[in-house]
Amino acid sequence: MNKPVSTPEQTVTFYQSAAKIYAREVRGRYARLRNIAMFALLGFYYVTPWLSWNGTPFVLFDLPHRRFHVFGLTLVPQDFYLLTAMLAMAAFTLFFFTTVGGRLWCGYACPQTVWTEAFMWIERYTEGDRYARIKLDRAPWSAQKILRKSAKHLLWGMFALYTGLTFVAYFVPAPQLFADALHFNLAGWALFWSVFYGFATWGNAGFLREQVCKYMCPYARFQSAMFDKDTLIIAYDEKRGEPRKSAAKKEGKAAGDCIDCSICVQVCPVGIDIRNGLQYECIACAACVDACNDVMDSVNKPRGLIRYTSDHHDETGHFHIFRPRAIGYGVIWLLVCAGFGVLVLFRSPISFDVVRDRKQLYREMVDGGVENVYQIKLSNKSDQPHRYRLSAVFVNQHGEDDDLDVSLDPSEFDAAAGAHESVTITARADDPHPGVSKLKFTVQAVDADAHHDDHVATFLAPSERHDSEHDNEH
Amino acid sequence: MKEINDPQFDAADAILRAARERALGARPGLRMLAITGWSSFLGAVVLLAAWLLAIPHDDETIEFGRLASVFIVLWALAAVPALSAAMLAQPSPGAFDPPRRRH
Repeated sequence: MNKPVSTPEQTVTFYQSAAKIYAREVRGRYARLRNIAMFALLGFYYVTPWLSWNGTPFVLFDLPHRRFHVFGLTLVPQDFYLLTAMLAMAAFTLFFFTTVGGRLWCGYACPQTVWTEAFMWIERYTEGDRYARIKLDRAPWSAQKILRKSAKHLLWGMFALYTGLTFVAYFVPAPQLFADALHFNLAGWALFWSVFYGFATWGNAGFLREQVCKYMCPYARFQSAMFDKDTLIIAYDEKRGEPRKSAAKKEGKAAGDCIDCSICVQVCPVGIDIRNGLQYECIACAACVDACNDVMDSVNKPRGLIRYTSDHHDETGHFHIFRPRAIGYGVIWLLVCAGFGVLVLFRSPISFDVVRDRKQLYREMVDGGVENVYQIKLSNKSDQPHRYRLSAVFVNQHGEDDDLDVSLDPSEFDAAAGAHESVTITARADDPHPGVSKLKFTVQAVDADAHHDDHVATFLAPSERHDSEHDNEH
Repeated sequence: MKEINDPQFDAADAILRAARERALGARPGLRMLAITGWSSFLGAVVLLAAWLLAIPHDDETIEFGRLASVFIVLWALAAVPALSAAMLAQPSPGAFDPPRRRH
């Protein structure tokens, strides 16, 4: 990062009473991109709880029953490894895109940025542009001021409450929740968390704003670990811009392209001067890029005095995207995504385990058969109840089926949706191999071909078969 | 540009000073509270997910009231390391004082 350049002290009188950032509205390519991202992400957030897939909510975190419905997939506690894989995928996505594109997340997709943009839009709608808002705050309280401030907070409050309700709708089905809310029947924890998150939204997006980014979010602080000389940053072209018009005039030098209008500072939502160099507070929203390009157009100078660049590009004029760090992160990211995809695609809708009863080795029957007792543990991870059929075959050391007969009792049982069943069964073989042999159990849902699994367990029989015909002779 | 340019309000230094002094910028105690509260909240969310998924609960249905109680306990527990880290990250008292000389 460039070292910040100190700016000369100036006497100011108008900001001393209330320290506030009045971000100026900006229009341009990156502002349009930010708006598109804002509408898309907000739309996704507010619409998703209302969607369903095959009769189940598209996204619902059913905490009481510990079932998480995520984009058509239902995750149960036995799928804890998928959560770990998702977190790994999210982490590498962050590392890869940050190394290549810089703080894209902060500037365009972070909920703090998205909701702050929406709240700022409401503020501009009710209180006016930057100049009007400053004048309004400095003015004494009047009917006009009360009206505008009240309208702003009313709209903020309604939007925040709707946001809070929608957040809770990710945990409680939306139709039921919103019906209760509209009839003022919301109570208990649903009401508490709706108000809590609504209040948090109102506070974060209405008041704290860039304070969250500057002081509370750790992402800005470990940028230095993820950035390199080729990471995309927003920077001011000092070589082209300096000396600024005002300084050049005093020193009698030829001015650079920067006319020192300070509009890049006025539009900045975090209140920094990008001309001082890249700072950790910069969320790379590119508002200063749009603002400066607009000014350059008006003074008939080329655009790009503030622009997306990299340290390496500033030195050599070339972008270097395919570099070892980016390739390394990219490869790992693809592998993790592929691994997650494989885990999800090949995830079994049942979890099946067989445990032999260790309290007894085997039971010899009068007719010569041998029985072993097993505990069948099955988790039905699907959203429907199923009936399951059990079968078993002996397998040899090569895993091939033997022809020995074996029967199970019971051979069928039911499992409710999301239930974890434990069933005691008896496996009986009329003429098993002596000693230790392998028995492969297969479970199959009667009404769902895809729900099947198998598990190999040990079957014990006497080492020397007992001849019951000769018992009477003795 | 639609907005009016008024030099009285547009000086870069004034904007930077206001941004630095705003809210948490000028209130170190509140800043530490916000940092600790937010960090421990994030920790509690992750811990709650782990508690739900990794700890055996048999097939019982967990009531929202119990979830809320567990979350508050986890938040309080997560606040301990968050607060410790925030306090330890502060400069030690006298860290920037010039070294004393013995006579």
